[in-house]
Amino acid sequence: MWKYLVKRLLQMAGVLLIVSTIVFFITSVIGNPIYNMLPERAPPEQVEQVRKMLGLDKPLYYQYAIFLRNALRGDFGMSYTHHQPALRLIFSRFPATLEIVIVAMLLTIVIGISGGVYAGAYPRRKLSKGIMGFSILGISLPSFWIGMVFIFFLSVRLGWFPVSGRGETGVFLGIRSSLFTLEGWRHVFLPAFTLAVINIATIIRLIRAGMMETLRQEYIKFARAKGVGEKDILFKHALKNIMIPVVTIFGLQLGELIAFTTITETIYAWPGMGKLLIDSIMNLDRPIVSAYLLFVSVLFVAINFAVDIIYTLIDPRVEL
Amino acid sequence: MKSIPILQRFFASDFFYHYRRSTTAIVSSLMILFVILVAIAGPFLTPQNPYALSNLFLADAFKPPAWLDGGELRFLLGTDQQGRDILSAIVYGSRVSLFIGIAGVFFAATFGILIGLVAGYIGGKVESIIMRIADIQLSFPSMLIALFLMTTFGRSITNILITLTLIGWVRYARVVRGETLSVRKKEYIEASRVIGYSDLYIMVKQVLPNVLNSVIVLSTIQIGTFILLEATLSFLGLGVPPTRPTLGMLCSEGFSVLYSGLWWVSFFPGLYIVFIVFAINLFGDFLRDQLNPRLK
Amino acid sequence: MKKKMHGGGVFLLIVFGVAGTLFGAGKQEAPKAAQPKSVTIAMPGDVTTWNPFSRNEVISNSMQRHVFETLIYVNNDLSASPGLALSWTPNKDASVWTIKLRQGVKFHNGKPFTAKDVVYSFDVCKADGRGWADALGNFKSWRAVDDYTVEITTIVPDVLLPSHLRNIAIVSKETLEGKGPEAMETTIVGTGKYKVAEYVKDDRLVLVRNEDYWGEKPQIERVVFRPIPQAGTRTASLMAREVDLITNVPVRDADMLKTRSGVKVLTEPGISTMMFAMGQTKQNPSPNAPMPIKSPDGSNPLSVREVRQAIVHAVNEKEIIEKIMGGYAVVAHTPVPEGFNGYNPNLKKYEYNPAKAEQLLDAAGYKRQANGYRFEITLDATNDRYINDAAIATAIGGYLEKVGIKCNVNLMSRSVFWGYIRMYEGFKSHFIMSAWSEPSGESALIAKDLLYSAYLNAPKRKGWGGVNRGYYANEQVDALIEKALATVDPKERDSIMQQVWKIAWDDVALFTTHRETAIYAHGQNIIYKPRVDQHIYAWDISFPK
Repeated sequence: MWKYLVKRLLQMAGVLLIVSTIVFFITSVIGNPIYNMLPERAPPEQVEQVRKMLGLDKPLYYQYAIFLRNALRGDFGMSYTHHQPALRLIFSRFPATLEIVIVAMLLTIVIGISGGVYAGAYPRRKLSKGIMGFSILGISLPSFWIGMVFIFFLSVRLGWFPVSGRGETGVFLGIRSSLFTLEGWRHVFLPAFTLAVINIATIIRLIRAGMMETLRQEYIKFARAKGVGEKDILFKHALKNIMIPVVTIFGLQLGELIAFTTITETIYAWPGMGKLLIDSIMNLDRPIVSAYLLFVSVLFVAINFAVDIIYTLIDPRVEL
Repeated sequence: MKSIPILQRFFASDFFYHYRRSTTAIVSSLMILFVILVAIAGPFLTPQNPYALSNLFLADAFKPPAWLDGGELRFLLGTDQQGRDILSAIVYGSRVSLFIGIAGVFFAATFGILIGLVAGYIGGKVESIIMRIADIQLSFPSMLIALFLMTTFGRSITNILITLTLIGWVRYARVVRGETLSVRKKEYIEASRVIGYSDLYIMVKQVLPNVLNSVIVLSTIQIGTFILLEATLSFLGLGVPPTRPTLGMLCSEGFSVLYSGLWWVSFFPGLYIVFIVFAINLFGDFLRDQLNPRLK
Repeated sequence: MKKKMHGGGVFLLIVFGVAGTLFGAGKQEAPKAAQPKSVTIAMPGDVTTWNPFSRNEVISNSMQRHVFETLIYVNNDLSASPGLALSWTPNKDASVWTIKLRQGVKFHNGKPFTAKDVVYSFDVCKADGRGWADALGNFKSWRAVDDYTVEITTIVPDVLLPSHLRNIAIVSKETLEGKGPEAMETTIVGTGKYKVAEYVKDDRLVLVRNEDYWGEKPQIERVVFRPIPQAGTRTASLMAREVDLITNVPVRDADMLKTRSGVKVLTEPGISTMMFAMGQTKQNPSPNAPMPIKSPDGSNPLSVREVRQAIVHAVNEKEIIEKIMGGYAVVAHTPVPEGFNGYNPNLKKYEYNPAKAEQLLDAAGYKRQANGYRFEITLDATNDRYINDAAIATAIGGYLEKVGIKCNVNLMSRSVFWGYIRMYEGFKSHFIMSAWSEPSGESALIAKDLLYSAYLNAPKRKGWGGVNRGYYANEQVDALIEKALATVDPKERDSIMQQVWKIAWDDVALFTTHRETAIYAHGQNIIYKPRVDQHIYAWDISFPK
């Protein structure tokens, strides 16, 4: 176990180093941020001055060395547009993103698992066919379009939900979040649901497939013969057996959710880090782009790690 | 065997038998046929060439769909801010979207199959390095990788294709490598080797046909995925250049006027994306059940 | 068992959420519009930085100016009035300016304001290099003569030097020196009419009236700025009375709000002019363009005056205003708004007349070829910088196509646009759409940037003609601009500049289409007077008697 942990940690460090290298060299190629900061009439000397100030006049390998050194300390430089440390900006936006991701994940778990189990257990029923139809439709929907349709019909036309923004936040147990106010929930729901639709569809399909395969197995037939209740068969015997692929998928889906917040947040003007990334890309704000990418890389690596740990908890047969 | 014409063989196949008995398969393939026909014949049918600037008249701007007050029959689905017919724009946009989806899959598949074959057949260090890269890449959401690559390359159709290739190869490489590994151990491959066939010959003639089914299934699904991915990138302003709008780009342009109640500018292009991708996914599901049920 | 624990976690989360909701635990007070003498203003964005030197855009400027002051204040007719400076006097040729400062002014933290703060602010601004640094472009040196006198020496004599002093904020040397530029983001201390009471990035900025202010105190005691990027949300917030004043109202919302009772919609013509530069050198101005100029004989059609005039005739600016801008724009005949020094009322945009355009093009030797086109050009424009920019550029392309000019429309994101079109570097552009505004009220400064000669490879004179992207070159115009910038008497300057614009317009140096109208809306509980420069100041708000 310990040996495994150390090995994994080293691997993680390796991955992050590779990612940071790629991130650095690629972001250095993106456009020229200087022209976006300067007045249009700025003469060449002024351009040169700002280039120096930002350290962009140095050779690339030198910039890379500085980038690595600072990145190790968690310093990705000052945002070109916000004049604040890039990582601090990302952190300040992270809670808002986490809010919709958590709500979306809850929706996925509740709707996805129940829908998938049902469709897998009773594949011939009408409702199951409906669920499967929905899930294929779900994976065919562009998430920005769902968002637009929701906004137009539910917010603009019917006025059930606010059009955009985060709404008021409340503080509970020292945490400031929209989830602690009713108004906040009204704001959270649509972005979170938009984010969750594709995930729900994916999860339903996977659970159904796993369910159908498991239910064909001998031990389920045996349990049935023994007279175990239908509910117990589904949730205790069968579901437990397909937990491993499901946990992997959830790990991957969590990453997908975070990636897709860029779109959801752009549509709903949700002040999270996904929107910050898109804005920064448009403004060629390199420090934020690289800080964001490394931050989510750390996140993904950590999620993968957690998934592996959870394996051992669900299935004692798995050895690390 | 050779004397039986290929079509006849197809009609007699299991595949065709199941196809004929599956409503979803028939409906979805008809939908796909429709989409392809529209894309090919569209320019001859549309009332307007939406990209010839001389055809656009500002006086026609923001006409609602024909069945609403103020709508006109010549603009069945309404017009956008520049007086561009939405229906025509959708037809033209779908051509670009489809082209990107299909070409993207073609390049990704070629690249991925090649790498997968090499990895599976050669094995050893090469294999483990390739598969390690694939693993790392798979642990990152492809949406994010695409976003990052497009930011770097800048928006253009060529760059989208490069990006899709770089994203899509992994799945092919994995599937092909897996199949190659299992095929490699088979006796007839050993035999071919003993006879003295070159590695290249064996890979192309013996291994490749075995992975074909998986590749077909994967490709069908990938086309849908890529069309969605391209649409999303274009929506964020990181996809195709604004001068050659795809369906996603049309949605993006319509988004700014959505709050003002001009829903048709973004609604219909999005609906057509759903139509296309839904058809592809339905058909892909059918193909998978028939050709390779093990594939996720 | 494990399954249950999992469910338990979810349950707990929900319970916390619900509990928090029910008890409204620490629920934050929503700024109420009803509070006496308090006003809430919705802005399209937050202040991007509290460093008052490094960013020049309306939102940041507006919010910063509540806290920081400048030496000279701008009145709404763009004339000047004393701010932290009491007087500013040039020497005979306007190469040395003496600024007398106001005495007894204190920063919000109690530190006194003196000449060394002015010198320090200029230093920081210059060193920053971004944003406002070019306002100091013609400043050779500056020094504190005594505690309340600053002397500025210019590089070339500059009668309009005070117009730059309107833009440079004064920060406290004692408070900031040696703390690095980051300190400015957290230590927001100025001499202005308001002090920062609370600032939550991207959420709200709460300002309270500076009771020790040196001048007349504004009526509003407490101002809350709320950044709301979505226009639709701003409108909804006003209707819900969550805010009192909204800016950048979209055209369609404006029409709807006008029908509401209790809401007042205001419009104010802006000074930002949409303009089109035409690369008019004989030599090909854009050899590296992906879609270059193509003409039958290989010449640059834009170098022919009549062709440029024909292009202007082909453009229907009124239709753009009506159909794309929804009527909320006015025709811009030149880049000089009415009321500016040098505004020439006789100059008009060549009227929309496609037949005449075709005639001129025929006469210039560019007849329609077999494919129906005379020649091919490419318009470079943004699609995310100005209101409706993509639609306007496409419309322009359409107008030109209709008179036989093949016009590609090359739309770009603003993130690449400014580098792409930059003069003397890429040589990719020959027809460019962008907007220009000059808040000083002096058309001589507009001409200095837009008209002063520039050659393909280098400017004629460093720092002049910096936005002359069509490479218009006319010695006579240059001489007149120089003369105007050395003429102290405004009347005389006005007549020189009128002449300059006349010559440039006869040459069709560039053309302009329209100026956006700014749209505001507010509740009936307040009265607001919008500004020409579109800055939002709380002291322009008052309560009805």
